[in-house]
Amino acid sequence: MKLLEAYIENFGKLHKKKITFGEGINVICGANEAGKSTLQEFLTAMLFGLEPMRGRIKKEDIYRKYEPWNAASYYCGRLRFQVEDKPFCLTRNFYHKEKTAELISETDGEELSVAYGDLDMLLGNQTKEIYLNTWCIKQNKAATGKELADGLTEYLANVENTGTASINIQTALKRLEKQRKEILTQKKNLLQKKQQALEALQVEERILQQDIASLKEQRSLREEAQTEIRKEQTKTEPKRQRPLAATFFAVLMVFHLFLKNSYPFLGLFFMVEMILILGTVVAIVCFYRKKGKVAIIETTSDKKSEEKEDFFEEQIREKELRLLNVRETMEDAGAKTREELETEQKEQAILLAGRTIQTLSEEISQDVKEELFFAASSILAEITEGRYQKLSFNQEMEITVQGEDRMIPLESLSMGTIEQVYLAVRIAVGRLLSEESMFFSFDEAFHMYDEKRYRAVLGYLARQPEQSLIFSCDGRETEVLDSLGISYHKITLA
Amino acid sequence: MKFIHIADTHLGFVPDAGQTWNRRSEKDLWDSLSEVFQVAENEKIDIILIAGDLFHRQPLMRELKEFNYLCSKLTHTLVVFIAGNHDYMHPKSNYRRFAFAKNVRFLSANELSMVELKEYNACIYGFSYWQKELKEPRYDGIKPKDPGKINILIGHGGDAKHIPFRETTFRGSGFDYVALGHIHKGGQIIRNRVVMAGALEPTDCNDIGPHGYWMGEVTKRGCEVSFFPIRKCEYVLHPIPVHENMTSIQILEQIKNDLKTRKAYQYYKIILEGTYDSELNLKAEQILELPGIAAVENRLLPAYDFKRLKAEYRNTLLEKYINRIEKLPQNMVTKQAMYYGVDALYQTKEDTR
Repeated sequence: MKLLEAYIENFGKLHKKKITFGEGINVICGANEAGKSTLQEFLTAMLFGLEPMRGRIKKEDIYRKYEPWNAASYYCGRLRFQVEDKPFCLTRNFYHKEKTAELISETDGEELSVAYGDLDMLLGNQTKEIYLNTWCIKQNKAATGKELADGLTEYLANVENTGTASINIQTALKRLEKQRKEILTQKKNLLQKKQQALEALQVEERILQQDIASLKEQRSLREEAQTEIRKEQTKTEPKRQRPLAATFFAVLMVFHLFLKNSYPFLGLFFMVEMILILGTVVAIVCFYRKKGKVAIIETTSDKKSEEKEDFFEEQIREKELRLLNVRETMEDAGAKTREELETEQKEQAILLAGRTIQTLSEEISQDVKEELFFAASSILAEITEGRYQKLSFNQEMEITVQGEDRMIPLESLSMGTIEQVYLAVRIAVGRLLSEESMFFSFDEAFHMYDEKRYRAVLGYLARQPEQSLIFSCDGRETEVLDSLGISYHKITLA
Repeated sequence: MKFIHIADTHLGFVPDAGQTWNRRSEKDLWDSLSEVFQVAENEKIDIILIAGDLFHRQPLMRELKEFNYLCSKLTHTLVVFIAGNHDYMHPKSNYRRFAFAKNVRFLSANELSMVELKEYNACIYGFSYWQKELKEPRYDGIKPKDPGKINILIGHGGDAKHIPFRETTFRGSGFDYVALGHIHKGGQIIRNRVVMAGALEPTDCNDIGPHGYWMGEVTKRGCEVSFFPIRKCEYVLHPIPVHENMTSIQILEQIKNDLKTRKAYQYYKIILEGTYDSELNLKAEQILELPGIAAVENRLLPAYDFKRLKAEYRNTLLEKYINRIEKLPQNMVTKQAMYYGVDALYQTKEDTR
């Protein structure tokens, strides 16, 4: 785009000022404090709008800085410019209470809308930030060559993060990240469900284990009790027999005595013997019967305790089987379900997509860098009149300049050369990042240049298709341009 | 000899509770077995072959008693079964100690054993699993001893970890009928000769299609067997074709319409297939709410024509991305990555336009 005319109603110290621009180089002269920076700010404000800043940034508040002390509502201006040979007229009132912006196409009188982005479109979607960081070149404040070189490296790093392409990548990556988080939540839910099922089984397992343990304990207690009882029985057996046998013999003796008296002679001995024999037989029989009874008592109680033991064994066996089953179910429950696998796959796919986009973006940025350096190199070659032909970057991303036989790191060069490199880069970046070319604006940018460099850069600018505005406060520019025979347009700000 | 062939009854298994209209329980599996036994009684079947996985886990005493009771009620049917990989002969298994009814023959040995049925001039061969896995192809080369008799083989297996076999394993083996189990999806491997019974009832919604029992008659002249479904719970795979212009309400209506032809014992597993508009907001919960739906699987892919995109966005990150992913070996992950990436980049472009 090219500037045609500017009319400033009220902006800072400029009041009712009309300025006409020309093709190619425009030198804007004026003593210090004449309003050169004001003009630059005005142009920026016209192109990109002006908002009063809120909060703490009052110091840099351009709005308030240039707000007229009187007639606030006349805080406005007009700018006529040309895009692709078509003239447009832009009028703005900056007064925030009556803020307006009007854009008219002068070819057919069609009214366009700034609010709906028609101006942005004409300017090729240029942003204020990009414009100020590329097309607008101010004096470098760096004190040393190293500072300047570092500043340039930082500048280049920032360039990588600008531009719609990188914005797209960041948004795309954010979207993927959101989707990944959703998948992770799904995964967590699935795992939770699995965990719950597993816990239920674990509870069952514990209960069964406890049951088995208590049954085993009961069984062993029973066994102990059994052995105790048997011990007791064997001890008491002989004791029982003796009193019985004793009573029998006592009775026998009494009978013996009776009979002895009743039947004096006959068969006395026979009787006695018979009774004695009978008695012993009876005693022996009783003795054995008792033993038998005890034995029967023993076997029945043994059987009962055996039955009880079988019962325990049965219980324990069944519970152990159930425990086995529960453990097998737990094993199966731990296996990965189809849903889990699918979710994992989705997660992997998202990660792959993200990584690929990241890699590609780095590759693209590498390509962009190379393109940039190629363009900057050719600019540098021109403005150094062939002294430095090539600009590149090494492995560590440091900027180097090609000397006669080697690549020289930027900081080793003189301030003046570094400034030239800076200029070449900024011009290259501006062109690279802009869909529609703008005008260059140099505000005291060549202050530190020596004569030779100065002539070279002016000669370069003269050869460029883009319009240039050079703000100066001394007559140097005009002198050099005259001596070089370059035509230019002079604007004086009184 | 008239027979019924079943397998994989998985008694003791608690099926997935499912949705409110489809409350399945452990009892369902027992009921189905009773049903089969009732059929055997009514149709005067001579022998029931159960080809493994009768129980889902080591059977408990009470479970064996229930099963034994069912068998004992049969008045003229013999029950012959083997243990599968689920109810394998664990050292502590109750199978080892249980005294089955007179009409039950359990081929419990680890090696091939045989039970002879003199009244039918038949021999039933089979062996049981003694551990959870059996990787050897133990059915290869098995042949009956006496070709003159009706020879039946009961087997359990068919995948890599459980006695792998193929159709050719049984072809020409000399058995008049091979009753197989293990694979839950049943079918005739060799028509009227080698049959995989399939699970009697589906265990979860991945067991698609009709389930039931096989009934037939085998003689020396040949064998004929047919499938009889049990119509209590059948999972049906129901694909729903979707195209980009469909809205979520439209899709739901389509599903509701399709459900009208559903039979009471069927439960649909909805598969959404096709391409969708990236704005489609269809939640699986909305479909799962409908009565008769067991599960929903979303296989929809966003409607992207990659060729067209590449041409339209030449020399941009989008084109580069598509090219880069296309170069990778194509599998589920890379395919999905393609969609995720293109979706992310394309949507961003559309937003900033």
